[in-house]
Amino acid sequence: MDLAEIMQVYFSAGMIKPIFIRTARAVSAQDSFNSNDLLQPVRSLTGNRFTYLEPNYQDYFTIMQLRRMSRITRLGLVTAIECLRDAGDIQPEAIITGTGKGSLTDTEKFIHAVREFGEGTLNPSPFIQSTYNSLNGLIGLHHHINSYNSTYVHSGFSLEHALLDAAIQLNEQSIRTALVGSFEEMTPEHYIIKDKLDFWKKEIDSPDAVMKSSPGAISGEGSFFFFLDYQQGAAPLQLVDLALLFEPGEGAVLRAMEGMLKQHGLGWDQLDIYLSGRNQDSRHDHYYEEVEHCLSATTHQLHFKHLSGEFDTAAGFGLWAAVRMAETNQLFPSMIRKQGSTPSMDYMLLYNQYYGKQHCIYLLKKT
Amino acid sequence: MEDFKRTLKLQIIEALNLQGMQPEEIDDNAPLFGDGLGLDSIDSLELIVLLERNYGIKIEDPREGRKVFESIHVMADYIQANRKK
Repeated sequence: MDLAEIMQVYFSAGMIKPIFIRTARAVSAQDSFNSNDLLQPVRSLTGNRFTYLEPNYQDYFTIMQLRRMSRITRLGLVTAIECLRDAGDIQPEAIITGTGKGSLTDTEKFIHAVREFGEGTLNPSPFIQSTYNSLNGLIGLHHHINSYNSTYVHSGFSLEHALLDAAIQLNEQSIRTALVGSFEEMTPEHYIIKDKLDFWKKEIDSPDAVMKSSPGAISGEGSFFFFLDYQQGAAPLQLVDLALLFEPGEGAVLRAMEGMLKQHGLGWDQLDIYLSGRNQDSRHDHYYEEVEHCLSATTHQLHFKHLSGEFDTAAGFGLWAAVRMAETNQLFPSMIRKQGSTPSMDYMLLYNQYYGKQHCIYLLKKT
Repeated sequence: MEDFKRTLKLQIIEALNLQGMQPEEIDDNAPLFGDGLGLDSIDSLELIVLLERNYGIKIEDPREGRKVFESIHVMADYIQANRKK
């Protein structure tokens, strides 16, 4: 590995010890929240945007509580509540989240007000809620948790930084449990801005666009929460390792994967499930194709962007699916792109990249 | 005056994001803060913004605001006496 490649390896394999994921919750464009499953895939596509299915907030909050929560903070809080409930309502010793953009709705409201009214008469609420860590504050307040509380805002590495922070603290046993999550929303205005930057596919309203290779992706949004533990207990899945690469050169992703597998005494043919963040964006799909060429015929190949859409923290959908599949011991049929021959589900590799820049490799093991 | 109070209530419902609440549910004489509508200090700032934007009334001292925002009745009287637009 030369110096240039070392610079691309943002966080390499073997730098964390395994940690355990006890519970996982997801709100997405699929009916993933109520059942915590993927029973009936739906495509709530509007144009080229997946929008998440709103939980029934009034089951959780009064009108007076709801009025202080923006679209994304109420979503994140509900996801966190159910994730903690599944874990037996244990108070986590850390609340750590990642988000690419936070509450875009409130950010836009605040910026519009600055433009319209100058800097004199500005509403405080959109400003307060537009801050990235407002959701973490709400979770802490709601559950009376005043322990470690942090939010990472690092584009396509946001969720991964939250996981790394938790992993380091769990490894050191400075904490024993952590609630880790991500939250992302898309607004009509931000969609247009990113459209001008060529983020999205151009085929509008085409039901097949999501599966068709062309420049751009389908926009998505969602919230994903995980309850992490330093010891196994009843956790269905282990996060064995995590590697991050920034703008990797040719072959660097493969070398990082092979290094990770070797570090843990594994080969390609021992991977039971490969979870791919492939989004049919023809400009960057070559990264995924490289990996697919290395996979064994025994490995099940699963995709999820046709269900989640693309966003900074979309890997959360893949990680949630991995936890739920490990727990139920069943593959989600709507995610299978290529059925492998192996009957086991022990080792899973999750690979996701965000517009060719941030690349994340997760090695997971069913407990 | 009754029409104005209704308009004011609608503006408050929108400014404070009181989703699902109807103007009829807000008593003209009930306290807006504490026991009545249950508003808090951030709402007080939101109401100061509402008065300045909609009626050109500037309240520099938030303590003065708490007196003005005692109830819909008091607030409506204050606006009518001090409005610049």
